[in-house]
Amino acid sequence: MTLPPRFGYAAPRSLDEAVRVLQARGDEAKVLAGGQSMIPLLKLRVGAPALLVDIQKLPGLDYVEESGGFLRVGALTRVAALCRSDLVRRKYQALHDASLTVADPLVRNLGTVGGNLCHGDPANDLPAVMLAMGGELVATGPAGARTVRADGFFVDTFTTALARDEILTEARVPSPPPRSGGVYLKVEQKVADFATAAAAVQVTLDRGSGCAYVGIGLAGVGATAIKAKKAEEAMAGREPTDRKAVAEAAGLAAEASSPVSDIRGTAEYKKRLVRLLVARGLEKAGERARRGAR
Amino acid sequence: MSSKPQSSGLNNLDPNAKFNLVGNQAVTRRDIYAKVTGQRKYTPDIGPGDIGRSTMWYAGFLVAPHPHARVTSIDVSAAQAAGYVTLVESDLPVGALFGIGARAYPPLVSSEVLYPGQPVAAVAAPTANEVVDALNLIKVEYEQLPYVFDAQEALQASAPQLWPGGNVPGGGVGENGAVTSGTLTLNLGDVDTALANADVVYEDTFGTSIQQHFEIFPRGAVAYWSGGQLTVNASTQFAWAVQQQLAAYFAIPATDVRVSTSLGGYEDGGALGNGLGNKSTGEEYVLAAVLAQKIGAPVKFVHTRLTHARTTTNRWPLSATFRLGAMNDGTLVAIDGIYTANVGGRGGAQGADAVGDFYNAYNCPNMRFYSIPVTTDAYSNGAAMRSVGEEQGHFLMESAIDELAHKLNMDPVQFRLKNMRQAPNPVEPFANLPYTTIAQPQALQEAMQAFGWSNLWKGWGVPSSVNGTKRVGVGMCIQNASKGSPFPPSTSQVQVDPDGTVTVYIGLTDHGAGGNTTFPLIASEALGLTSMANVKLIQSDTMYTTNASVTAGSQSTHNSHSLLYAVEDLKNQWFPIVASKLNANANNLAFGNDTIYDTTNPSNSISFNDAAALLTSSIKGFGVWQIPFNVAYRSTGARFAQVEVDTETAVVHVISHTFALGLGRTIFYKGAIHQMMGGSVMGIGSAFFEELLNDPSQNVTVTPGFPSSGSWLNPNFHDYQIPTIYENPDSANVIPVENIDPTGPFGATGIGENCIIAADISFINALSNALGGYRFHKTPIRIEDVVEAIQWMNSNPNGASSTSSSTTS
Ligand SMILES: Cc1cc2nc3c(=O)[nH]c(=O)nc-3n(C[C@H](O)[C@H](O)[C@H](O)COP(=O)(O)OP(=O)(O)OC[C@H]3O[C@@H](n4cnc5c(N)ncnc54)[C@H](O)[C@@H]3O)c2cc1C
Repeated sequence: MTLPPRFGYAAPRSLDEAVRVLQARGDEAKVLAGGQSMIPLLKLRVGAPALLVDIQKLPGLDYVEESGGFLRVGALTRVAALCRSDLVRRKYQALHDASLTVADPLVRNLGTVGGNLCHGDPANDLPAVMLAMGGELVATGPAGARTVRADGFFVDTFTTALARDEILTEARVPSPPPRSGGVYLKVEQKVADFATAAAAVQVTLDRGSGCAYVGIGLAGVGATAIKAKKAEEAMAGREPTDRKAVAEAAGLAAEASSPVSDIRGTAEYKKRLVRLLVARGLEKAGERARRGAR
Repeated sequence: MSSKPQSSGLNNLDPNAKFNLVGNQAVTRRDIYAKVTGQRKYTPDIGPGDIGRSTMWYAGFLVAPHPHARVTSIDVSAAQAAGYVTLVESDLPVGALFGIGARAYPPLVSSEVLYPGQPVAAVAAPTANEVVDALNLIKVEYEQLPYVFDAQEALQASAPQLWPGGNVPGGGVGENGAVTSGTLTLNLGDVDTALANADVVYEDTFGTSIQQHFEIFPRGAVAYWSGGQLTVNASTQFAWAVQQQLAAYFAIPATDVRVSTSLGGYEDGGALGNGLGNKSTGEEYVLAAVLAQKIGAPVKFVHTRLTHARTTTNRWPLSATFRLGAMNDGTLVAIDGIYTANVGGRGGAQGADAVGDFYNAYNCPNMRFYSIPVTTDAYSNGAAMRSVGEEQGHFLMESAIDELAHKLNMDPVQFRLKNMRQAPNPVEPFANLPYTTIAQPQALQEAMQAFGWSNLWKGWGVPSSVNGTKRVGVGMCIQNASKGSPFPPSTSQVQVDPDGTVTVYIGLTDHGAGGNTTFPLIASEALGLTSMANVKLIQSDTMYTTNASVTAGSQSTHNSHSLLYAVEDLKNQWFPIVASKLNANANNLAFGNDTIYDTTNPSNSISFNDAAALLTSSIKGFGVWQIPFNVAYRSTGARFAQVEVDTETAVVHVISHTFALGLGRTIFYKGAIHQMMGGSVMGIGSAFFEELLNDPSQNVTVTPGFPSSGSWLNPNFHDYQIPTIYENPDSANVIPVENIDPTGPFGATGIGENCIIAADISFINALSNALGGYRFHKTPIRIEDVVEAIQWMNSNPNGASSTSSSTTS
């Protein structure tokens, strides 16, 4: 058995208190949420924080609600809650699809949305969705709350835009207008594995059937989750049924990826998957948008 | 006691016999609730309180990160100064070796590291958390040496020589590929002439990879001394052998050593946590005892996943080059096979079992097989993993046979029906031994019909359906594997108490295969009971039980045959007492439906409990059973599979699996069915996932305490993937075929290992069919292999005629 090294433990009861603890001991402290990434890392002895600040007792950070033009998800919301949410299933399909592919039921029951995003693991599923849907993240620190766009939050592998004394309190995505659809497609070596490659695609159709909005996020194929901007631009005004446009965008998305060869597949294969998944994703998201899923 | 199997009386071999418990579909696993509710205590769960102590120390291994190296220095001073207890080889008794035969080894490296993961030092700490800290304080310096991972490379003269006398014990292969030595396992008829005269000759090479058991609980032991007496609660499949080994190591009488599987005693104490062949013996069993002696406190020594994966045994990679000859009518006329086994750093394994499978499975007048064991630095040592080479061997054999049928353009089922060994009168050709039983051709025919082969098979390389990017193929294979090997006598005891409680004592444990239910079931049936409610089981604990052989080799059910003799012995003690109560002749009494009755006047009877109440003390029957040596024990069956592949993503999905297996007689019905299903799913892992990998670049950076540095790439469940419930086929149909084996209790044979054997190649043959007849040559089939197959298919629209060399003479 490999067990974690010794660590100190604090379980603050309020957000203020949590931020104060982080401010005081930020260099040697780590936030602990569901622990599904943190505990394995401790067991592998990757880093040995002197203090774990368990935020699971903070009140008011567990919610999934629509208000002010956003779907707002509290940072302590468990991934399983997204899977169960009827609102998410109907209106935020990419997020719903992705939540269902996160790990296995045990991990989803404990892993939090905040932890999934703050971990900065390029193989995690939810960051790609945030990028595709144009999401925002609310960080609360000593100076209060600030909003960071998802495109800008995922700085590097295991590194986000959060400061050491900040806690992510909310993740939100704009409520899609009518004629919108989204999808998350993931190829995994086996069910419950991390993505060999995955793509989140969000589409809004204009009055014709061209794209008024296209968002494409990639998981597992780079140092961070990737927003495939050139691919998004290539689809602007074009139809998701336009094979040529889709192929072009899919090719651009593959170019934006930089996977590495590992036991889940070669870099070349993963790039091919990106092309495929983005192409299939655009078609599927377009289809959902036309059906006007609500 | 007679050594001849008893074929009448208690051992009811009537195929139509009616039983209370044998084959009863309502019988469920006795330990199921304890297991799913987490109440069973496995060795890793044992705390000081469980053994009546207040403290316990915890131990771990420092393992070598390099595949081949000389240890130039080990400095344990910092660890000792910090209060930890260390062990290196020089601390151990001189000449106290571990392991068997010529390649016995000290439990810790003496000077040369032969594989990545070889234990160099052990350490004990007063808390479990500190073990890694303690290990980090030990400084080892290595001089790295040239290494070789691949068996074919290790055969070259230029390869690093790992053992005195070379990498092949007893010889090797010459420059032109001719076998200069190695072991000639079988030479029947005239292979060369037969190949020269064959209509079709097919030659090809296949291979497998290193696999790890990754059983649910890693191996380990808790050891403690009371005066001169040693107790070891080990996660072992063979408590009796561990007892003997420890007694020899410490030079004390075996009676002063108690070894049990986990806590021992009643069945809830004998929890193994699965073994699959990995847990017969272990160096940590010995080292835990050495440390416990040194510290004067109990020591718990449980492997981490990394040390478990890299230090304990593995399924060894086996490859084979075949030349097969057949006539145009499909008659198999010649088999020439050279098997090369990569036996790892310590050796141990070979290819003989796989060779035996081939010459048993197919009836062919001309057969020649060589088996070459090759030492490499790739991993520890090859040993049993749910079969002893047969699992690998069936992939090799059924790949080659399928491809030969393909060359002949013959339906693969028809080819097997024509050439496989089957009833009547099957004989093992090497020692010329008659089979105790065979389930062929019945198993093949039943599976074929249940699967619907004739509707689904569209011909070689022609998928049974294509839907967009999804192609579905079907495939099949047969299996014929040895079922354990005859061991010295197996023993057990059955006790009845005046209150009617029955206690079964048997030295076997439960692998997860259902032994905890099967053993008491056999005794209960023999005692005429209709329920096991008052039957207790004490297992795998040298304090209470005697040697019943290892829980392995699909032979536990077979070895529980001794229970019938124990019941017979019990009868001899008990029936005279009952006879006087019934005014009957003891020789005429029999057990039946919870009673003992007079067979000459069945209404003259007494209930089982009332008969027990006649006793003034518990009585115990002793059973000794010697398995006959002059027969062949084979397990035979057939598998069919349907597999879907997405030709864009290369993702493979198993749709259905149909598996018929001869099991003699079904004893514990649910257990047997679940074994058959579970083994088949395990075969999905073998086909598509499982492979223990070394870093080919060997840019080995060692981060202290970070277990994933070193030569290894995937010694964990995250990267070494095994199938879970999600990878199950959409539908699985298992068909137990009853083919009474007169040597087994009630006619049963064992099946545990045979449930995985050949599963992988059934899926792979189906995948091949989906992909235009592309032949896969190595397991596991990784995603890039599927990508390659798809590319090949797209550029070879005419199918598989060019996959490999085939000549027509
Ligand atoms: C077997 C297994 C399989 C998995 N497979 C997948 C998968 O397929 N897809 C996938 O997406 N994920 C997968 N995961 C990862 C899992 O989803 C993550 O554990 C989860 O995303 C992290 O959430 P958590 O609440 O457990 O965070 P923790 O493990 O507690 O924390 C993770 C990191 O985030 C930081 N953190 C957490 N919350 C906050 C916050 N509110 N503010 C600031 N920092 C914070 C922590 O300091 C830490 O660095 C898998 C995990 C396991 C164990």
